[in-house]
Amino acid sequence: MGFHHLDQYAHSAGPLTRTPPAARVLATVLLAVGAALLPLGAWLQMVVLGGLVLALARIGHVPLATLLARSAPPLLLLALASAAVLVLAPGQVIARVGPLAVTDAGLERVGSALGRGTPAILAGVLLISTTRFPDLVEGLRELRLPLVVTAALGLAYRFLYLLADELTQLQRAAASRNARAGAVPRRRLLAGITASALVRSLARSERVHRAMLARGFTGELLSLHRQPLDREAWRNLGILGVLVALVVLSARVG
Amino acid sequence: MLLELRDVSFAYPGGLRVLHDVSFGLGPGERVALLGANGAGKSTLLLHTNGLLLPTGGSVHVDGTVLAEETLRAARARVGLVFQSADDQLFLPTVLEDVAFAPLNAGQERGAAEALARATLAELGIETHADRAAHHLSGGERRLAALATVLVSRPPLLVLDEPTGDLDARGRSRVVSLLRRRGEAILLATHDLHVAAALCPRCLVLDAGRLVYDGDTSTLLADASLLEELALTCPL
Repeated sequence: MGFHHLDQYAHSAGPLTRTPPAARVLATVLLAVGAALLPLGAWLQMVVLGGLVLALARIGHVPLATLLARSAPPLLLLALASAAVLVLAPGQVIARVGPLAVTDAGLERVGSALGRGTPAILAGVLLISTTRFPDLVEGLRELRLPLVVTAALGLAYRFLYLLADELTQLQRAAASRNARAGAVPRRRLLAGITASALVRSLARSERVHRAMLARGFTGELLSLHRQPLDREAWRNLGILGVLVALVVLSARVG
Repeated sequence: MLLELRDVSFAYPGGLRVLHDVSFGLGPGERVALLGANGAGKSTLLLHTNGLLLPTGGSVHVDGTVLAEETLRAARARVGLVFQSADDQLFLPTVLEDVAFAPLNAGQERGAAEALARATLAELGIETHADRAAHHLSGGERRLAALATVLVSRPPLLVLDEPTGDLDARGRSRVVSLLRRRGEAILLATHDLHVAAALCPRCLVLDAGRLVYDGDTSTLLADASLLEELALTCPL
């Protein structure tokens, strides 16, 4: 199996990777919430929050190019999702694209959506770039997320690869028998392959459950590694919290 | 007897009867191969040794205790079951966590469980893979990691379902020599008569859910007509 591209984590020995995963998750939430609380048109504060994330990326030895490349797809999605607001928000018309009128209010809202979304997305990408998925799950567990959620996430990570492997095998089997080209046959084939993969996955999940029971599983997925939030992590989170709060307050009060 | 099956029968809920009055015993340190064609009931029988399936007739005894819902936990600590597909056995994000899974469930402290897991991986020569995900390992490495998940608990009985099924010759001989060095009793289901001959002085043959042979492996392998009768192929 070779679906390593699903792993977005790039190991670096920076200070961020030494921070407990729970602290990294909390920091990401802080930045995202801070960005969401910024009012429309708080351009300076949006830039400051973005700069804060980039500074954290630098501390974490995550190359800027990597961060931007990984952020590009969700940013593009955000831009596409909010594009309609350009012409839907009532306001003064500043440009026309065919029959559509772009308003100043629409432009401000889309700009603000992108301005607030960018630091949040960058923070999320920074989190997954500095945190292995198992550590991320452990961090969520440390933050007292329900066991059923963290257990499902942990197992999903493992089975994503098995599902991808099952799909590849089925696709190869179809290709080796000269699966017909063309849109309709391909769609039919894809539907058949997906159904088979799901059935296989169900059978596999039953076998995995047996394997878990055979090794004494009683319903609680116990973890080997615990990295609780220590005093240093709380102090760093406090500093970050104060900085984010100052940025938000300066936008709200000013 | 470490493991004893007394007139075990099993039928799936749909009514399909897979095992018919199977009886045999296995003592400490004994190595026994379980042979038979596809669909003979080998895997179903192995699932009974660990209480993953409970018989619809007869009884299974581990260390003299009959397997039932209330005795399963103790029995599973005594019988280490390695499944046919290593991918079914390895379900956690890293190999180390998978190997530590059983000790943690047995109530070991995190540090002790990790030390045990690392020692077991070192014993199998795959300690460098401890922090890797199972999907990053080769088939042979995954097989050894699956074995480690059970060996870590030091069960007195190892039950192995096709442990060499997807291995090349080198991987096969590695697993065989590893198992030969160990002192646990082994019940091993296999299609590979070379492996059965190399590892197990005694063998059982299942045919359509019935135990049709229980005796010396060498005697069975020397009798071409018996092998043919039991739908087994003599090693070249």
